[in-house]
Amino acid sequence: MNDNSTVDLLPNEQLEERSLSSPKPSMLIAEDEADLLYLFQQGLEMIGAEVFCAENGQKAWELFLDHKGKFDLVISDIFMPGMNGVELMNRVKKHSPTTPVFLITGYAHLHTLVEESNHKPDAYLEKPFNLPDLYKLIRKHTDGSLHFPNF
Amino acid sequence: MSGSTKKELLDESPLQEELARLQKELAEMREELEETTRGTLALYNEIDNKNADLRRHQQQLEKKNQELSRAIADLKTSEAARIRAAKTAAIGNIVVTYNHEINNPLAIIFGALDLIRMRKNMDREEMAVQMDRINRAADRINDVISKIKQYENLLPKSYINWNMLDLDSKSTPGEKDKS
Repeated sequence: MNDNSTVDLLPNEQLEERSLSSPKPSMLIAEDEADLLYLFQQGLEMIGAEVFCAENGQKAWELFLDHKGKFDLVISDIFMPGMNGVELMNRVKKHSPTTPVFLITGYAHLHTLVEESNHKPDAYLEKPFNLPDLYKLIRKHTDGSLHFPNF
Repeated sequence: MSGSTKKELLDESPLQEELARLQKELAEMREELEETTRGTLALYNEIDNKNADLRRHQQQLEKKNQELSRAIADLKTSEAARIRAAKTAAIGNIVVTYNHEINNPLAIIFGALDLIRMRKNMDREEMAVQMDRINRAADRINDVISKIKQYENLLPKSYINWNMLDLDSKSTPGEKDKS
């Protein structure tokens, strides 16, 4: 999983400079685990994304509606109280079919929930994951305006 | 006509009568025989029909028997499947619990370590925050492992369409014995 290598990150000034030249990609994160949500936020902000956090599916959906067309990516845990990640994905995809949605899961059997749903996620993120895993997926599904560190 | 011939004719008359009676009797007997033959044929037909009915009933019985055998076999299979499903569900509960209660804190530990590695010049305060986060997550894993050791005392709680062991419940080892 994690190796012991260090990472090279762009200096802050350079990051800011690039951010000014192109709008920051916006990402919506739905995760009920507070520490994990915070780490997502930090990890994604470090690569130059504008991050919107929601601690459950319902709040994420409200944020999505409040900022129509803003999000370049939606990342959601599946297990959440109230609206789960699969339902959130279905709503997002119905509303905006081209917006990539990643589902976070630690449970292989939950994929059957997705199989039964109307829409499919663009990627799965299996817990426990590390930031390089997440960055790899994001790189695949976003344009080149983010700044990924070399792990 | 001569006298003798006349006499002969007169003598033949009773014979003719007898012949006619016999012929009539014969005709009656033939008719009776034909009727009996018809009756026998009808009886044969009836027997044939009864035989056909019996064969049909036998075939139906054989078919029902086969269906019954299949139903018993299916029942045995579904009972085995039910037992297998129950076992799988029990194992599933453990797996889901492990996944949820351990993978979440593990993801936190990995994420915090990644952040520390990415931010080469992280200040002491921020480092302390990340270390606290790692500590809390490690404690959670330790706690989960301790509780799972007492699996028999844990009650399931519903989580989407699976049951997960309720590690937050007040049940502790020996609690069952006290009640």
